[in-house]
Amino acid sequence: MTEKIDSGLIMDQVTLKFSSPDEEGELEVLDKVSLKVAEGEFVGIVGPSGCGKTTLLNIVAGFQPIQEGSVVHNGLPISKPSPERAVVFQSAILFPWLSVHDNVAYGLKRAKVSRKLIKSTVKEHLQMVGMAGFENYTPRQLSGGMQQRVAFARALALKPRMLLLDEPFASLDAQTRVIMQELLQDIHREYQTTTLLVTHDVEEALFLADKIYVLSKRPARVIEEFNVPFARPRGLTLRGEAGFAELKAALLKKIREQF
Amino acid sequence: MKTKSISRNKRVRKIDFYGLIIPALILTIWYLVTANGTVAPYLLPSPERLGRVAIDFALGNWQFTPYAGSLLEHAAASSLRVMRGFLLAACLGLSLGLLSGRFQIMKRIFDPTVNLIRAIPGIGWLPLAMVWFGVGEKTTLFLISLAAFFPIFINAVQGAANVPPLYLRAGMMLGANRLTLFTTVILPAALPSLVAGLRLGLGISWAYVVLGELTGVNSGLGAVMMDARMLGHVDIVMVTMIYIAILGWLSDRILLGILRLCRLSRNGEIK
Repeated sequence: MTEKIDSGLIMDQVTLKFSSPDEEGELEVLDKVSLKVAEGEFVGIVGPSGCGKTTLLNIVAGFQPIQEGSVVHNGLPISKPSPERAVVFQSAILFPWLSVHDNVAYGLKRAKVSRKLIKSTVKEHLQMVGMAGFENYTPRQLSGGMQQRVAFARALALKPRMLLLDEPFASLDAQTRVIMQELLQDIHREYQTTTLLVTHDVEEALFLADKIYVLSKRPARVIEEFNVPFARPRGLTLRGEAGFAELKAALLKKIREQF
Repeated sequence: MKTKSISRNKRVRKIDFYGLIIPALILTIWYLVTANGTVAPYLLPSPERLGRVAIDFALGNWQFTPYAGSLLEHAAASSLRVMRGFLLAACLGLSLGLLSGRFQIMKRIFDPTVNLIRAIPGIGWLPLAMVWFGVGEKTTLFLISLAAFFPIFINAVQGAANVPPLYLRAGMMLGANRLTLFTTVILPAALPSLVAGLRLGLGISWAYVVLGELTGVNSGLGAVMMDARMLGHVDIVMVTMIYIAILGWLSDRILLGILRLCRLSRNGEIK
């Protein structure tokens, strides 16, 4: 991927400390983390659990202010959440008091999109994630996987410049997870949305990402950055190939060395 | 919708007969002790007499008592007081409660005072209220508003404070500003608590309207009750008790109906 100046995400030397509850000073979460996500690129972040991956994503989303360093998205420093950077959380976090249709329409309404356009946009995106016909259901009537599909539709309907995924498939069963990963790959191929995926699942990152950052245990540093060599589109059979298995083993080893 | 109506029908049809044992027993004993004269009618009228007085109180067709046919007038007077007192309590309780639930500074301002005042039982305000507002209307309104305020306020605080942070993040990420975040996320998320508070408050309003009316107003079910006691009409006292219970239950259903209507007409999204 070629990098254009001022486009994409640039995280530079970000350090973050939380004041710890037991008054023993501070809890260091991130230690001079630098990373780049170019326009249209799919970047995965893997690391041992509890290393601060989610915190990193929260910073990019604008939920978490930083103390040192800088985070710049398309030339502007990130200071607060924005529909330009849509988030899909680990659990769907749909609003239970709204129907599936109204959940997807929520962001569009906030953006004052016309009623007619909302209708067609919602329809298009529900169709894309395979949830057409569920418009009038409430989130509680849907399975976890279906809810997560709606969450993707909700995020993508905003036509975000960047998609932030916080372990979006971690709470799904193995079968659904694989299906959703393929769906996500299709979505990325079609829309070319810049994507940052945080996951503890090395296989998932290898399957989906163009580039992977490996984080150390807390306080998180970038210990490895490498490009995923597999050609796209990647099919199910990729997971069975020797090259895939080797890379996966190497990555897992790196992460395990952290303990 | 379908599953909802089915479960509702089930609830209506399924009467637990064990629950009827004690009422049936009481009714039987009541009938027996009044039928054979063990208990004098001026202390406890027979079930049949009570039923007739109740009908007469509503319709005035038999003129058993001086109160015959006056139910509507008194029920309306009590209901109006409840409505006014409750509305005042709801306005103050909801607004202050939601603010205190969302803003730490508001909570710090209001919480200590509210808890201080709450320590005084509502009934304890009666003498002071009578000195301040005189006997009657204003005292009743004051007592209702004061007593109904607390459950509404406390539930509103709780509801607003316990909105899951991830909902707020989702709302912000989807482009909600401070105002729309409040109207489209915080309010609907807090709604179950708000409804619980309002229902509790309305129930308490009925308790305090009776207390206020006992102190000497001309109209209202509480006034009838006190008046009938002095005139020795224990049947009217009991009938009034029953009608107050019915009105309280009815007003709760109406409140729920209004709330349901609000939600439905706006496609589930509160604006």
